[in-house]
Amino acid sequence: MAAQDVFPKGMDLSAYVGEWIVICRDKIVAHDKSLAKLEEEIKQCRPAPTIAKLPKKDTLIF
Amino acid sequence: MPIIYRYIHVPRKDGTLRHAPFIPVIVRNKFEQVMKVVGLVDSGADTTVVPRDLADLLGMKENAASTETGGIGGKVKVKRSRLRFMLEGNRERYSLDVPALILQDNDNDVPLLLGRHGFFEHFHITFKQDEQKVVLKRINPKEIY
Repeated sequence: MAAQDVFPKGMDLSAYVGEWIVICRDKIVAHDKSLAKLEEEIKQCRPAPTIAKLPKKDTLIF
Repeated sequence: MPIIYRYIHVPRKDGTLRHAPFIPVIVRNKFEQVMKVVGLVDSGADTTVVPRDLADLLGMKENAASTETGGIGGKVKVKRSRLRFMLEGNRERYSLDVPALILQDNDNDVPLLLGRHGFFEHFHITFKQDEQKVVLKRINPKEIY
């Protein structure tokens, strides 16, 4: 069974480390450290957007 | 049918990549809009952890009392809540309602962490580190949180 890609193939995330990104129709349409500042882009995206936080740190254990 | 995701490649500042088992989950936000949030499948976390700003976007209700939780990163203040989400494969969808801790400090550099309680009971989860894939196979849980 084929594996699914979480992000569109070839998407370069390197500029967004430490930030939230909004992906709409396979493109990053907005990014910011504050997710609240991205609400308008999230609302505008049709169909459903994908959002992700790209953490800086290597340790994420709780 | 199992759901299989490729690890994502998170760039580090030194230019190298960290490969990690992040997966998309489907949620409904406070605008009644269905969207996907990418979260880390964190087998080391008892409970799902939701960043403060994400909890706000999702309109999550939380307990009034805050508590502390800790890990290698130190102690942080959290409030208890629940997170509803769906996992979507090529031919199936699974709904989950899991206990969650909402981080109270917005400055934490933490993504959505999908912990074990309420989630891992429903799936056999295999981390294929050598293939950089995570496989989720639905099972019948023995205990519901």
